[in-house]
Amino acid sequence: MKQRVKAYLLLLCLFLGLTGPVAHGTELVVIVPASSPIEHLTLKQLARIYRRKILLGPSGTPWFPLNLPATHPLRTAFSKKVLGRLPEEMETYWNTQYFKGILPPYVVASEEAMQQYVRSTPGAVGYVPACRLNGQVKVVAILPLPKIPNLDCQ
Amino acid sequence: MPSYRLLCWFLWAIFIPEPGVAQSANYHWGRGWSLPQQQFLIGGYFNFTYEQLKDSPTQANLDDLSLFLTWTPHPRLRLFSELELEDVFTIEQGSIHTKQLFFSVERLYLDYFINPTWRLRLGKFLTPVGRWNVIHAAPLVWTTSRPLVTEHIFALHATGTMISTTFNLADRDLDLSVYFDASEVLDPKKTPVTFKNAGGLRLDYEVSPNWQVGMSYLHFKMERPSFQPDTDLFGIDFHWEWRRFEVSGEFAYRRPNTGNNSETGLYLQGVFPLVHRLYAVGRYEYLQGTHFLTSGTRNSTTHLQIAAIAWRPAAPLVFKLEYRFGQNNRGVAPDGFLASVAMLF
Repeated sequence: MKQRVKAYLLLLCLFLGLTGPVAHGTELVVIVPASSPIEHLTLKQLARIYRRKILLGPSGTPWFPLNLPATHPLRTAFSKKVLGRLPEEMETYWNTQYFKGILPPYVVASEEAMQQYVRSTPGAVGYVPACRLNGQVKVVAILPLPKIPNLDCQ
Repeated sequence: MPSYRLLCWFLWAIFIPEPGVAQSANYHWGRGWSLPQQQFLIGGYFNFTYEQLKDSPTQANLDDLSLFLTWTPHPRLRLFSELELEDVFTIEQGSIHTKQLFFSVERLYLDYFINPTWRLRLGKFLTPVGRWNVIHAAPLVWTTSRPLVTEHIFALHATGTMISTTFNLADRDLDLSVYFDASEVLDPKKTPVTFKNAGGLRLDYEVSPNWQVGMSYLHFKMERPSFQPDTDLFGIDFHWEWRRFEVSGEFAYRRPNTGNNSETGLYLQGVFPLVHRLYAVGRYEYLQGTHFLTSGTRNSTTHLQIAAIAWRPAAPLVFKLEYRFGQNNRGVAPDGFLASVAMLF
């Protein structure tokens, strides 16, 4: 009897799994001020900017990379995609950079604050979900990411 | 008139904020006190050690009290200094004294960013040989003691100029630095172990985000003793980490032009996570040769083993405890216990 119940449950799970909603990914856009001469940034360039290996942009304006708080799911996804590591795995790296007088990217409280900073700060670079983009910034990279809970744009 | 303009530029650089959303002065533990509008960053670290070594009196010591100052007056310019009070006080046989206290300018340099990838440095900087020397600060390393090969076979500072850049090789970063020392002319506060002149090359390659390899070459002559000939040093090093595991090592070979009194050294270190932010550390060291830059007569082979525990309750803070033992190590790194607490502030 128990075996049969298990088999039914397994079939039910399979059915739900197959007929449930298909998991779509989150599309993240990397943004700079609308007036920036930058048109496109590669993953490699983003990694160098966010690790603060390059401090100066091509037009001589210093880069001003922005991050969301370390626990924000979008920050985690961005960090894994661009830097290949989780934010907490970067602690040692940032300790070392601090010893060289370099601070990690500035942390803003929210996606809205991120866009506001980017709009008004020359050299700023930030990221938001594509669906929450609200203008006056320029998109320089699109990063497809795995689905992030609570970030669906409906 | 030109000096008036220079003063105006200086005051403008300090007091006129950068355009953009205003940031206020802020302090973060382990990341210093930042004054974004003035482009200043003030920080530092301390290291307090306890030593119980064979044939030496037991002592506790505030080893380092270091202050970092960074000022970016212009997007292309960055001034960095590390000023240090060393051996601030020592507790020995129940008494406290400050007999060994001294002030040192650990680093003082100006970076000029020629373009996004090329940087010119002028001043006093840490000699880029191997990996340990350029990140030697106590809160950044896993053990209280320092590997012999990173300390005894070249001068730890160079004063002169360095040009650095990053190339893309197989879609990975290859960092290159070329430097020349002129300590004799430029260094206002020489340490006893100083280059008379030197030139070197450093390559760092990022094989993957978790694995870096490096190569160093240095040609130098020491200030003292003056009889020591021109010397070549070759080094290779690596650093690998996965999750919270870490393996790193450095190898160096130093050869005077006379062919006598060469020196070979290496260390291999492993870091293993135990429980919440507690790590076990093991290190083996080998040093064969004269051991000291300032002597040319001694010649022996030293083996060292270190077993250590490090606890990092937070990123800027570390407590360390280690036991060191070895063979032929009495003169350079005697057996015994070492403990320390170090913190970035």
